[in-house]
Amino acid sequence: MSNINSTKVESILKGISSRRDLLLQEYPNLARQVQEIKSTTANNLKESVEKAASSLKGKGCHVIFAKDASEAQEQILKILAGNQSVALSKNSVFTEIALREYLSSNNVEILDTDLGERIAGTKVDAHPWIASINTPISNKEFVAQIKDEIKQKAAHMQYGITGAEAIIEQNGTIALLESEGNVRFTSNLPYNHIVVAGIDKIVPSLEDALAVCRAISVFGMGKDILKYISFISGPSRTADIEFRMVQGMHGPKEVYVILLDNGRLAAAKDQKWDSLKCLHCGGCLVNCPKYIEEGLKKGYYYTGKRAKVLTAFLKGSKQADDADCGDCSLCNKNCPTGIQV
Amino acid sequence: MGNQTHKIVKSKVTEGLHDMESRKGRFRAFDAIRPAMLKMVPNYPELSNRLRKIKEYSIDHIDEVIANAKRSLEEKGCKVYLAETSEDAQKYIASLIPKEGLVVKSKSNAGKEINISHYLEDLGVTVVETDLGDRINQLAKSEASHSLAPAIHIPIEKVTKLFSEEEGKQLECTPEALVVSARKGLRDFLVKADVGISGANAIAADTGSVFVTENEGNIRAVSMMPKVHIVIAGVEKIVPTLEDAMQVVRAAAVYGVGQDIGTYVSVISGVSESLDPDLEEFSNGQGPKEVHIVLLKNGRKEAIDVGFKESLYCINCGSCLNFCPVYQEVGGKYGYKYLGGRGLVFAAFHGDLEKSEENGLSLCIGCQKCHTACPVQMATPEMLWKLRQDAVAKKGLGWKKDLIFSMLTKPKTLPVVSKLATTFGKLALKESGKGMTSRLTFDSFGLPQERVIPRFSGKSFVEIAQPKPITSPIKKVGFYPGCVVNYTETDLGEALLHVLGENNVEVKLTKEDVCCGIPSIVSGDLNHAKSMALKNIETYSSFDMDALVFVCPSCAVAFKEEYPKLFAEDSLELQEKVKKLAQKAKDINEFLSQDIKLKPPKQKVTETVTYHDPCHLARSMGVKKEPREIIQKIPGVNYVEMQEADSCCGFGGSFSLSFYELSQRINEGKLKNVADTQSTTLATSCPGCMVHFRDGIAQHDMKQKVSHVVQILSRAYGRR
Repeated sequence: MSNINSTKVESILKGISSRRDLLLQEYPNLARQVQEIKSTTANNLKESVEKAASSLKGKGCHVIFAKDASEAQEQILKILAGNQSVALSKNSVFTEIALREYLSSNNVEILDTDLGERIAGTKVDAHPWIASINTPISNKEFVAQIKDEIKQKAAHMQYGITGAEAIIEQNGTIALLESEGNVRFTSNLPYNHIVVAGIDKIVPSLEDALAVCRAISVFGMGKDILKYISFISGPSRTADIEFRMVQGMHGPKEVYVILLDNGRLAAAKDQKWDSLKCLHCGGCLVNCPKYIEEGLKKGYYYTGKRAKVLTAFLKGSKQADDADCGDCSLCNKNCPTGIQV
Repeated sequence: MGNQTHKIVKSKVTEGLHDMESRKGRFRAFDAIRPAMLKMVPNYPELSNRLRKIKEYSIDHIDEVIANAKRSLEEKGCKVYLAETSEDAQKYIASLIPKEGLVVKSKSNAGKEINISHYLEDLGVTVVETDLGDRINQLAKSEASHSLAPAIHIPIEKVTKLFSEEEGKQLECTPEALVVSARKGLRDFLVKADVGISGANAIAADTGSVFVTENEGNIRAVSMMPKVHIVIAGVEKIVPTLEDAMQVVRAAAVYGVGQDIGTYVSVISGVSESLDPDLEEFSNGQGPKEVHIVLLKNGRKEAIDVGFKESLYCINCGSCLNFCPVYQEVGGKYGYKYLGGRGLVFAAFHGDLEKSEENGLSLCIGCQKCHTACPVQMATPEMLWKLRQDAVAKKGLGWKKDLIFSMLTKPKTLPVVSKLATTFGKLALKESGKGMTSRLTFDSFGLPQERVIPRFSGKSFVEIAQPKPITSPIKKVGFYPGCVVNYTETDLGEALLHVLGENNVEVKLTKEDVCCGIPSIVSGDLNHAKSMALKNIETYSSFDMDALVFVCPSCAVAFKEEYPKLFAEDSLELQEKVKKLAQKAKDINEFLSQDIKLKPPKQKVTETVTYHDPCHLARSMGVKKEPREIIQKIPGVNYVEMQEADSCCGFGGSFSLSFYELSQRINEGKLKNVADTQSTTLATSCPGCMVHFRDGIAQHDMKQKVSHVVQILSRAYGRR
């Protein structure tokens, strides 16, 4: 059984690998560019958080600073204000704060909008972007049925929760990256949009966010750019009636941004830059033999020596400090932000 | 331009001027957007130059850029259709929509260009506008009054009635309640729609990415919910990279509405896709299954080929419209498909010159506010002047202008007219206490009875002037007075001689002058203009002088900017002469501030003074602070800056004869700002503005005296 699956995984990763190599010939400076961007924020993390919070507020977002996973969980439940269902898109931050278990135990029904997560389930995070990378799929009708179900339910949701690939300090803008399209409707259809993002996602400018999105696409997926980038600067607004401003025309009326610390400020203070630069793009997994051996089954976080960085902000017991691997160092070569393990 | 065309334009102007509801709406938008934009632009000092370079490159390499974009878009799964004409585009789009289908649409200038909504509706398709303003207009069956806030002129009571009818229940008359209803109703259409149609702010050729920006979220919805998404965009929207496209959307927000960035910027790079190839086989992601990019050519190549490529730099941000005095007062009647002057350039290449003329080619007053407001620094007035030249070359000038301009080429004309005017003027004109007014109305000459016109002087200024001989002059200058000074405002000429005399500057005058030629140039009449220019060049090139000073900036611009252009193809010898003369030409404020050390004025002038910037001086010549500095050197003066001091007075020279009511209306806006300063003297630095303000002030029973900066300075030096 696992042979069949690893063939699927292998073929996907092989595709990414060869496409990536071609693209890097076209974009030789991309890694260097992104490294500079991430270093800038990491080295000034506290100030960046303050500036970002202020800009986000200036755009009409509610900004909540969560010092740890528990606080993030509680704040989200508070925002839901008794609502018993919420739409969720795929992001590693939800694993970090163990959101699904928390909401379920508080009687909140979760509509996973990522098709891969619906099919493969969310017990094991097999890949940061491709949830079903290790899941055989043969039933076309089943897929169509799930897709339909997501569409029907999403149209009625009052709350949508997403992560963010970047938070732009200068403008108070959130950047969301995807190819499937579910992050768009999770963030646009409901009246309330909740964003959860580690403070390491903060970047200075819109152009920096674009570079980050390019890097994730190239190194993680071997594509020049994924299909959709959504830049969101606050709630939807219109002044078309007598020029009187109203929020919530077609998009959300309220936008909540939960800026998650959960050890990041401490990491900055201790100059542990690596954990603050990781994009969770999956680039390190592409040519990694340990990923296929371990990561697919235990969760992509637990992949060789990268586990130290990937699990840096997971709850204490979930961290992996001294994982061993063959030291082939391919992950170091493939990392867009230059994290060396 | 024929008489018939002029009549069409005049009636459009009249209609626009009398539509007070739309005007109210436009001003609501201006009052919010203008200050926001003026505050925001200085935060992005590099943006305009950067964007201009991107557009220059894109248009200079347009074929390459289109080919790259097509390839990238197709690689991303889009279908790309390059439409030669509007008809081609219409047919292709219609083929994608089921009979009696439902289309949801977001705002698109390109869509308007090909008239897609009406075309589809005629075929039985239901088209629902999703932008709130457009939806209101759709239900009210009214036209957009502003490009970005199209229904701003419609009162909330009317909107409540419309939406209540639409929903089937009485709604509360508040913006919040109406938005809730609109959201619900439109969400319903979005869910049911077969096809979504949007425009594009930019298309990145490297990755095949469409950029759309907005505040409402309806473009996101239109491009996300229906199974088919159609993008309509002119080929000029294509730029080389993602980063270039980001500059376009930034500029659209900063210049168009004074925001740092739109609430939503969506970068759509193809058809949605599951990242798991197995899933992808069965599902094609959860977004639209088909994305069609309809790229419009529709005359754009022709525009480039005949030297109008600059018109394709436009990013459709609407910043020019927020500052154009003609659009401000006339509204949507000025322009064709694309509003304002820019639309008239489009009309010339999409239709023909006639279309351009019928929709207001003659209406641009040349104030250049659009140029300074534009993120890509488009010289729209220059393009319109070129089109006027084409029109004159094709069809002639019209008998009135032909007669007047040919008379102006002869030095004897105006002195004779002036003498006749003073001698026999009393028959046709009467002294009204405020100035001269016509006994009869000559509307077609722009002379209704109430218009206050300047008094003609019996002898011209150059005939009677006696410059004071200076023993050891620190500088020697020539002085070109211009027609207004020469024949009506001779006091200004005297004041200039006095001021320069006080500063030990020797002044040389000619005994015979012709018009500088600007009225001809602006009308597109290069033949008469060249005739006048050559006479002036001959006269003044022979002067031994450090500078040639002007009190009229329009005349100065003629010598400095227009003469070199007029003779750019002539002999090198003539071009040298023209260049030398152009270098010597200086506005008097410049000369007094930069070329000499101004003698401090000692006589008190007890006035509250405000200053109006003439368009040619502030924008063509960049002279703004010098006049203000000079005024504030005068003892006793209380200087007050007025609101929007650099917006056009409405004169425009011959413009005020062709379109007097519009000319007056523009002036009225200025008069309000003048009155608010509670000044006793309105100072300016252009005789044309002076004539027009005197007319307006007289007709509105205001008390301000109108003076040139030089006249006030002359008083402070003890004259009179």
